Amino acid sequence: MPIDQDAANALTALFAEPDIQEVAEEDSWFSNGASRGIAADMRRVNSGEGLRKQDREQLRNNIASSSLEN
Amino acid sequence: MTDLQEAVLYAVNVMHEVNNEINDVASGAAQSTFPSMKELINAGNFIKGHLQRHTTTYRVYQEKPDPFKIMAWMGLYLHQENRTFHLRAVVYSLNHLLEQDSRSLPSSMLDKITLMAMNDGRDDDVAIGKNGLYLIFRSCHKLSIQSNPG
Repeated sequence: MPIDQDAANALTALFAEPDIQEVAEEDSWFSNGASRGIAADMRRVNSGEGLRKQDREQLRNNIASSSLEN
Repeated sequence: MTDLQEAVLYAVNVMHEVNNEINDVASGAAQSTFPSMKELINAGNFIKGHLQRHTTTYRVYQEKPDPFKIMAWMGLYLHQENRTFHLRAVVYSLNHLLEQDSRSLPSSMLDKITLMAMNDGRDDDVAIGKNGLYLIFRSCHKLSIQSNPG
């Protein structure tokens, strides 16, 4: 479940100005196909579809096996 | 929506999902409170400034925003502003990014990273810090895509 729409609108408005330049670098890891997994997940999560079932199960296993309470 | 807006929204949405799962699975423990809209806006402003400082200091030029940076910096900031938002939600969210490329850190390492990140702003000598938190997951990702290209 994504965050509520008011919060999402406020956050995206905050980053609307193109004040952070995006130009090519040698470490352009995100666009070279090396992280298609993250790009696909970004589309999925931001569309409201949420985490994949297997990701949710893995997450729940990690939480359950943690020795932390915080 | 720009790439940066997408990346910020993604980081927040993943942390929100993970936070809900923590509360669901660890129902007997203290519940983790997801930050309010005001806290998210404050964190967003912090990210804008820190991203600018980071890119200037290290002469980093990115074609696309790095979700590891945004998630680590924003998540730690949110935890420091509101300690009822559990840091585990941030660390598990960063691990979720690794899992998208078929890699994951074991639970024992995630616990250790969480404990070290908790000391940020409290006892910096034994803390990992926001840049360390980002870089440990970013480095793991780099290794994972080198050993598992494509």
